[in-house]
Parts: sequence; structure tokens; C-alpha cells
Amino acid sequence: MEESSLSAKATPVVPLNVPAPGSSAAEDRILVERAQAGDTKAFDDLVRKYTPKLYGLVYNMTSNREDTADVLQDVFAKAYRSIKRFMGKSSFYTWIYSISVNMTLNFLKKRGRHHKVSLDDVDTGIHNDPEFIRLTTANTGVDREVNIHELQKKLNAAMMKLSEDHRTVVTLYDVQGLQHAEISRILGVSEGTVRSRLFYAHRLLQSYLEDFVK
Amino acid sequence: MNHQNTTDAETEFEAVQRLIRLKRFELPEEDFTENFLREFHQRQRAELLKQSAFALLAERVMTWWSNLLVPKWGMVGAAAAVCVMGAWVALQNRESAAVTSVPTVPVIDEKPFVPKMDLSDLPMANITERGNAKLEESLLRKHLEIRPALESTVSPLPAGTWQVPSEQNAVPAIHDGADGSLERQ
Repeated sequence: MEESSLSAKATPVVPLNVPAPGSSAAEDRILVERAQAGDTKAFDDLVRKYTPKLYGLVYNMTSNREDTADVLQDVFAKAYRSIKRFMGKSSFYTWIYSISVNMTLNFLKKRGRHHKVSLDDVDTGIHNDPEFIRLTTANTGVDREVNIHELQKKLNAAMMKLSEDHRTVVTLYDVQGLQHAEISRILGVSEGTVRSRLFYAHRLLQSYLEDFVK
Repeated sequence: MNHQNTTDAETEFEAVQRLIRLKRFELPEEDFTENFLREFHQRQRAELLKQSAFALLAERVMTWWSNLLVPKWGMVGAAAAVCVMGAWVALQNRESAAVTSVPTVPVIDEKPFVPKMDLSDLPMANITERGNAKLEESLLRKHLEIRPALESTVSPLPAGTWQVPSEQNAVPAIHDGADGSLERQ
């Protein structure tokens, strides 16, 4: 399987700032048990812990800050209502990610496919991030003269050109740093399907971003 | 040459992945999470107020019921047992009251008067075996046949010479034949 070998060869160059899934599963379990017993503070701690992670997921799927905040509110509201029915068969991490992905996909279907990325959607808060600037100029082959704002815009536009399924796997794998097995559990598809979608998504992105990668 | 093309493709592929990974830096602002949590609490309260009175009542009933069900099963079972016992006792009392309230009627323990008749000469065994219809038919035939036989065989006695019936002047017995006909012996 060519696509599998290609995607498997890809090694992360950018250091992962997302903690490995399951690293704090025990802590999550305790918080979940407390939340199930009616401790709202415990659920607040879960919200604090997962909001930044889920923000990256939802934002890269919607490319809109306000939509991201709205979807996340609905995600945590649903999780709060369903927390007593959470049996712990999967980790809380997988469970909350599944809710987020499903609700984001439903939101995108409602919003329609013809949503255009505006300049307002681009996150301007990272322009001065020295790590971002170093990486964009050192490791990606991007010309130093390229406007970083322009690059970010192009990245968002390229992501939004992907289908929702392809965008989801790219977001989960490349942006969130999850492994194929974890993604397959979240999406409820086989690992082969995850690898296949990832391969085609990368190939499409390659064509969309050819100006930056050559 | 082919090797060179493959290497270039992989390099481009990795470059795309590096570019996409840059999106990891698109994180929310530092105070986003606390603001988000505050808004989350506000929405929860707003949703609570939006609920109708009926929904709130139903929720309270469900909550009370769920709390009752889990730890107090014994009490619920005991209450149910008491209810069943009470219903049974009430039913028993009602039945006994119904029996005692029936007006007393004097029981007449008299059998209907049946005149005693000597039917020993009748073929009762055969008749009863063939059913009531045969009985009725036999009685009728006997009545019709005995009467002329008596008239022909028994000479009228002069007055004052009445005798007790004996075997000499008795009427011959009549028995049913095998085919159901009457035979005189």
C-alpha cells in the first residue's frame, strides 16, 4: 500500500506541543468520576484542560474563531449532559474528541460548503511568535521574503478546499499530532481508511501549496 | 533519474506536512479558556431558565425517582408488600361481609312425595340401558297390552269372591325380545 508507506514515513519535524493521548488518562478518570458524582468543579477542570486542544481541532476545521467558540460551547454542553452515561469504555480524550468531530462536521454541513475564508478568520496572534517565524523560514523551504500572513491565509484556504473527511484526518494527524490508531477510534473507521484519506489529502494539499513547497 | 524524482516527491510531501504542522501554533489567546468557561456557565444558567415549568417538574420527578430507586429499593419493596397485604386483607373482609349479609331463608329439607309402586315386574334393567325414550315406550306398550290381556284372561269374579292374586291367576310376565319386541312368557 503505497499511501500507507508514504504517510508512515513522514516524521514530525516540528516539535509536538500537543501532549500524547492517554498520558493523563488516570487524571481524566478521576475528574470524570467526580463530575459524574455531581462535582461541577471537576467538569470545569476538564473544560480547562481540553479547551485549548479542541480549539485547535475545531478551528482548523471551521477556519472561523466565532464558529469555533460556538461549536466548543455546544460540545461541552453535550458532554456535560452526557457525562453520567459515559461508561469509560474509551478514554475521555477519545470520547470528547469524537463528540467534537461529529458536532463540527454537523455544523459544517449546516453552514454549507461555500463558506469563504476571510482575512478576519486568520489568526493574527501568531505573527510575532518567534518559534513560528523560525520554523516558517528554516524548515519549510518557504522564502524568507514570503509574507507570513499570506502563508497562513494560503494554508487556511488550502485546508478549506479539502473535503470534510480529508480535512478532519489532516487536522487530527498533522495539527493535533494523533496517531492513526487513535484517529480511527475517534472517527470510527479503520486505520487503512485513515491512512488512505491522509495520503490523498496530502497530495491535494501539495497541489494547492506548490508555490510554497518548491 | 527515477530515484531522484522519488526523492523530490517525498521532499515535497514532507514540506507540505511541515507547512500544515505550522497550524499547531494557531492557539487561542491566554485568557480564552477562562472567558470560555465563564460563558459556558452563563449558557448553562440561561438554558435552565429557558426550560418550561413542565420540563423542570419532569426533571425534578425523574431526579427524585432516580435517587429513590437506587439506594432505597428495600423501602420500595416493603411499601409494595404492605400495599399488597392491605389489599388482600381488604378483599377478605369484603368477601366475609358479603356472605354474612345474605338474608337467611329457612331451608326446607323435605323430599317431594313419590308414591311407592311395585315395578319389580318391569324390565327396568333393559329399559334403563336403552335410555329414557325406551322407558317411555315400554310403559306405554305395557299399558296398552296388559289391559286387554287382563280383560280376556281374568274372568270377572262374582261378588264376594275376590281372591288374593296368586301364581295361578297372575298375568304372564312380558319381556322385551332381542329385537325390541315384547314377548309373553
